[in-house]
Amino acid sequence: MPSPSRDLVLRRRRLREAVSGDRASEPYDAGARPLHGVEGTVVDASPHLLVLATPDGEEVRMPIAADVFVWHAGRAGVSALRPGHDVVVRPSGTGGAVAERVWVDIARVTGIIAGRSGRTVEVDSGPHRDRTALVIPAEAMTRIRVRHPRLEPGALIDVIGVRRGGEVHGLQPASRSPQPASHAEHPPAHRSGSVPRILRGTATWFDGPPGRRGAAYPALDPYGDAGGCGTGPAAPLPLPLLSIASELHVRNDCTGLATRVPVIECGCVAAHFCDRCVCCGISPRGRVIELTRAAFVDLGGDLDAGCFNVTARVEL
Amino acid sequence: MAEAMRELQIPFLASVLLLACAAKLTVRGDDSGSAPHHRRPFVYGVAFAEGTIGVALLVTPMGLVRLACVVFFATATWIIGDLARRGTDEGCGCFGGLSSAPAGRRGLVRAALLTVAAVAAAGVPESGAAVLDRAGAGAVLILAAETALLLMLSPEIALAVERTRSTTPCELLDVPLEQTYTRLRASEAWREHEDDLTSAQPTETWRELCVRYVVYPARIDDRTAEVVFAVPVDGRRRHVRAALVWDGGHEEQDDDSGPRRVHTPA
Repeated sequence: MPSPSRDLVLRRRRLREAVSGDRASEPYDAGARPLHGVEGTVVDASPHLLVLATPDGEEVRMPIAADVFVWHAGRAGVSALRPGHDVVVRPSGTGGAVAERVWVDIARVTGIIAGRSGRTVEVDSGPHRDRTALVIPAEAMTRIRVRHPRLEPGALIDVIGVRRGGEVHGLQPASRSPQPASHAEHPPAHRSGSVPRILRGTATWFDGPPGRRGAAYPALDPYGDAGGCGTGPAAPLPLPLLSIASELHVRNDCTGLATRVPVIECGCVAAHFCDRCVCCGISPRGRVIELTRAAFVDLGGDLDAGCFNVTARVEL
Repeated sequence: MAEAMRELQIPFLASVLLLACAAKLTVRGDDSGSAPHHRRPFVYGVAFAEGTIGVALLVTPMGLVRLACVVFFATATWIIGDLARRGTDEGCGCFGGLSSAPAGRRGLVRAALLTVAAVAAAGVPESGAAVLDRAGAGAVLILAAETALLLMLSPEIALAVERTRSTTPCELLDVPLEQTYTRLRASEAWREHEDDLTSAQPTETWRELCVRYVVYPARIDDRTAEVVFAVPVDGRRRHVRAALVWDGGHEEQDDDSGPRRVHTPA
């Protein structure tokens, strides 16, 4: 299913508000204003200025902070900002559009291993995403096997890497915590009258449509125009059912930054994982949401860290 | 024996009325629906009447009180019969929020039997308290049998059992579209807007938490519009709501659940 347009998000919000009227919202810490990250292709770069072409065709010029952090298969210098490379830029939180963190050609492969041939692993990222051939260099194999000891068909894998010549080279496991046993998750009380509408857990990121700010949510209704995963896997812990174009108010609990993001995809892959984020303390539950790169960076997330603890509230 | 049974109807009817009064005051139903008998002032008014008649049945043998009792139960029977005949999804509200299940044959039979009991007991020359004062073991057995019959005929009990058994929160319920359409077409909101719809098929359906939204194209006064219905996916506590959304214009919340709200487009 293609990502919903912004028009669909606005239309459903309008219809929902028309029939629901004004509702009193639950007490909730709204959080601080988000940053405004930029995704694009490097057009030109000097030690002090970065020029990008964004996915919607605009050219953006950003000053580079003196203490800028550049990631390109690990910590790199400004020299990694070469024309033609794909970058995600996070501005500083002090105002203005000064590039503070830049990730060059960063990629993430999350899914189920469909096959393996030597150092190349074919990963099925779910029906909404293509299969990806992940190349694991010899020097990264040990690191990745710490978290993914079984690189065999059927096993889960989640790796952060770098794009090199049309291939994705895996460099490190995206999660620092192991996949817990199923009994480690506490199911809700037998007679719970409802499930929480304020979700606390882990937010990860995925290679969504370039420049889009949105989320993949693991529990979409499978009927009608809700865009659900059909026969996809159920989340390890129950999440309330939503639809494509539903909106979530998402707050990074590590930075306090918050924003509203629409659901643009079914996060059926995230539903398989029940690992925890250990970014700032251990997240209270597993993956509740996957954010696009732009949305993840807007909330102060570090793409190379892979996750942050999140509080998400369903906007009604 | 027949005379004793006739006399026992007075304390029995009084206890039913007092119980209904207490339920209306303590168990609040959803008053956002369109049915006037669910609005709070009406519910409180009926509860006051029930409490007054119930107490009066216990303390006085006045004919006016017996007449009021008969009129009350006869009116309730007529209202439930009307709800059942129209096939609406509105509950009768007889026991406040407990009576949220759609009015049906069982509730109608219960109200009719209570009316018969009120008519039969209209001529009893003693107050309910006096009848209870000299009641023996046989009277207790009769009252217990009547209470058991009343419970058997009470849809509230079936609903309470169903709710106890159903442990899945509504946010997680797997509800097929057909179930939503059935609920929608039995609703007051559907009947109100049905004639304005230009297609039998919805243009869009999606779900958020416990509500499924169903959108139909409509035409009103030669203007195109859409009617959006919000259909609860769970039990019968909440009502189907509807709003009229003009094409490119303003929209009105239109479910008679409060003052009309006009929304400007986003």
